[in-house]
Amino acid sequence: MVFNQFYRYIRRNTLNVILLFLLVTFILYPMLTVFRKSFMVDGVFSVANYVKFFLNFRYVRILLNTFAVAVPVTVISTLFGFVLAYSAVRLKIPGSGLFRRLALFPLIIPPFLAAFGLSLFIGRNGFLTRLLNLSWNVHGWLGIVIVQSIVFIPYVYLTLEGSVQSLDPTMEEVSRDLGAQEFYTFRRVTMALLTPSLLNSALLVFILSMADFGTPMLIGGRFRVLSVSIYVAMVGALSRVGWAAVMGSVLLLPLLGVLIIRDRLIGEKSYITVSGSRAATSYRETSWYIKLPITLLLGVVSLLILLIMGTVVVMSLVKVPLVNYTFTFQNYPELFQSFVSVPTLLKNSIQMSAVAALIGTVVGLAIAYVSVRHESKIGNFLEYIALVPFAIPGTVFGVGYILAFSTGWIALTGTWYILAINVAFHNLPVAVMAGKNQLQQIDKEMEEAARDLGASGLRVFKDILAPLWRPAFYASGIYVLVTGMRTISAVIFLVTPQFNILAVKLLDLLERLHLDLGTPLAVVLVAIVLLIQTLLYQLSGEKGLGL
Amino acid sequence: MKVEIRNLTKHFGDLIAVDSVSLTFEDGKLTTLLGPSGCGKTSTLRCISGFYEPDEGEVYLGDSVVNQVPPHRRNVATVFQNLGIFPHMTVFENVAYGLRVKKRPKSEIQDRANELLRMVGLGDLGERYPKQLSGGQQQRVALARSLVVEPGVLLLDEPLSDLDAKLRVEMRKEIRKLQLELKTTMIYVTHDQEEAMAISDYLAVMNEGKIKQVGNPAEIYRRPDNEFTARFIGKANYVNGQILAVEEEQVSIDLPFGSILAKRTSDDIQTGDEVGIMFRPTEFSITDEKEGVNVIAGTLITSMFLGSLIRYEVDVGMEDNIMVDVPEPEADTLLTEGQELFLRILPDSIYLIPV
Ligand SMILES: Nc1ncnc2c1ncn2[C@@H]1O[C@H](COP(=O)(O)OP(=O)(O)O)[C@@H](O)[C@H]1O
Ligand SMILES: [Mg+2]
Repeated sequence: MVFNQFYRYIRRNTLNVILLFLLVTFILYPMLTVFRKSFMVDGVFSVANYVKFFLNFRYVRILLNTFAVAVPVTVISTLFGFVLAYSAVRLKIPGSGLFRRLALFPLIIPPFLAAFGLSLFIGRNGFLTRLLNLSWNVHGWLGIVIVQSIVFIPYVYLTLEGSVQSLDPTMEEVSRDLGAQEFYTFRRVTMALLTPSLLNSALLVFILSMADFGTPMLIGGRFRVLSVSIYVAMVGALSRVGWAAVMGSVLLLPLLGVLIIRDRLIGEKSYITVSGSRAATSYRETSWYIKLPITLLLGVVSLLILLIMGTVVVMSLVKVPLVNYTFTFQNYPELFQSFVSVPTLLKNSIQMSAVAALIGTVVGLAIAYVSVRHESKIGNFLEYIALVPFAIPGTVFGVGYILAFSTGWIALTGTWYILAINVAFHNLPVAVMAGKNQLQQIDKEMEEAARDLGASGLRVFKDILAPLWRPAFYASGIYVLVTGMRTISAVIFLVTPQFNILAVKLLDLLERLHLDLGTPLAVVLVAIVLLIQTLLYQLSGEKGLGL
Repeated sequence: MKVEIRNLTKHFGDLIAVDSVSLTFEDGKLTTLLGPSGCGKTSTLRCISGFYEPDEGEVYLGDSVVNQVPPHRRNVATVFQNLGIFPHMTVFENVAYGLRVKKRPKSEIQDRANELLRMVGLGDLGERYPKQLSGGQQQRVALARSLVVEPGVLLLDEPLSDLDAKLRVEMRKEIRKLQLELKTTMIYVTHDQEEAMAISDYLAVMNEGKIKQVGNPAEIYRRPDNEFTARFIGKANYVNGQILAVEEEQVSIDLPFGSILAKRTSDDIQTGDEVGIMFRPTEFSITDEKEGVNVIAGTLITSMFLGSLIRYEVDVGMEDNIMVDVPEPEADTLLTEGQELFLRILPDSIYLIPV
């Protein structure tokens, strides 16, 4: 009898049990392993590592540097992203479509590529620096801040766009109608309503900035931040995984703290949203003195992105980048004949990303379903865990996987699918949110009506849920796939000589200043990502991000 | 198909949504569950359709207990409050869905679905998408979609509550017409007593998870057997009193505003019994006599002109004021507020309710 009940409970909750297992294994377990490792000295529990960290001025300095970058980047990116989102949805700005396209471009390029492009352009030996015979220096704090401020704009945009759209323009009109000045209206109505989403996007940028190590590595010069130190500790000559775990924990603990108190602080959750129809924009009349500065700002950002990417393309088409500017197409054939086996890397990248997209989307949508439809405690709990990777810097997530899956009951490192799993679970929040948003628009009674007419659970899924859920499926699938193609932060620790991927190889080449191979490879990578994304959006019939 | 529930109980945590309800829904009839919002109507329906599993009691469809049968294996169809129309299917595909799921032959699907569309007056709209239809038309799609599978019982959960008043009256006639035509067993849920009266063969009045009274609409209206029903159905005045004396034909009752005589309706009334008294607002007359049998004095609080009748609210010295409806009023006979007046209640129209 008891056994029967237990059996029925398990059977009815099979999905929950499976999801719980996956989340615990691939999110909680690796993170706990990082913490455990950081508290272990010679096999016993100890805080000695932390004492060592905080008493050493060098490390404290690195920690402070990390904040010194993350704080201004958070402010600037959030501001720019907000201006972009608000103007794209509400203001009639000439050329805003183009601005939007360019500003979202960093979403499809490897995060470090912008840093590299910038250093090619105005770096110490940059193209423009040489041309004008200048002696400025962007390598260091300034360079990191410039690049990160630009490349994180799209994340803010995607977090805010939905919120700005759902702001009823009538509210702004009512306020104006009641005699409020434009700025007063903006401050007291618009901003007040957007505050939760703004705080969320700021938090996201803060985390992204702390996690990013490609940018500081390529343009940071001698300015050290924590993510780079973690990377060096992991891959340096004498690998110090334990020390990486300590630094990872120092990074992760405050972020998780913020995540936990966030619900109380902000009250409302908003995340990157990649699905959902782009609602009809409702423009409002605005004075030129507001439009002009906004247009200028967007123009500058767009131009910068254009120049950075343009420089990379140009350098790939010259004989010796930065030295001999004779035009040639030779670099491309040479790339394909070189030791860089592009086709294999490409195949690996696509294979890994596609599997990641599939896993991430299926698990993410399943969690969205359980959390929206079952309204049970377990559903909420699953969603909560699934959104945690939002606060985990990629580097730390990678360290966690190395520690958790090298030995023991799940030994997966060295396999290619651990990369796919890593990418899938790191991007799980995007899939969950896409699924939730879509599902909330699908009336539950539709599913019940179908069941009622004799459709089995599977049939309901096939006839009702699948077609109506398709946009979310494609949107998050394509997002994860593209992210997989360009990501490095977590997977860089998980690739093996046998299974390397394009983005990691590219960083490797650029870091070692193989410009003749690196620049064409960068162009090839971006072109392929762009191609794949366009193709998938075409095939799926979804509008996508409109890049 | 006859439907029966026995001792049906459904909890949500500590809340008892359905409290040991037993009820039979006759084959081929339309039975309405009527009660205020939150009284457990939907929960009862969902136990019948299988979306909830009862905590206690049994659901019989025909002769078999179906507690363990999942929704899609029950011969039950539901018209949901939000309709649950499939937006990605045409009207025809929506209606044909149940037959497709049951893998009926193509020609049969075609014929049946078109026949149903014709019956609900949507013959030409099969190729449209639901978005392109009005609220009333969508309602018809939902009805046709459920009826096409010839369900043993059709459940309707406040299907008209999203429509405007005029359309609601029209659609309820439509539903009733279809029901009489197809002789489908229907269980209809509403909190609107007028709608319930108009549409039903039988009414089950529900409150706080319990069935208060079952009967045909006329019985329920005229002979409520408990305070809740009396107050909920129609406009009624309800007073608690005590039996003073029992005679052959009549009983005299002590009420807060004096004693009155009422017709004796049952044998087991005894002197000293506590009873509830109900009288409908139409069962008074305004009289010039200041004294006499069943004459009550009161003060006019408000008068409301409602076209075919005038409704007076009269203070007779109790907590609740008494409602009095005077049909076909003439404008010059309107009484002024604050005025004293006398009401006569006919002994036959007083209805005693055991407390
Ligand atoms: N899924 C549920 N979870 C918790 N409480 C519920 C749920 N469904 C209904 N209830 C509660 O049960 C009671 C009866 O609800 P319901 O059957 O929907 O009433 P009705 O349909 O008559 O308005 C209400 O108090 C309601 O809040
Ligand atoms: Mg209800």
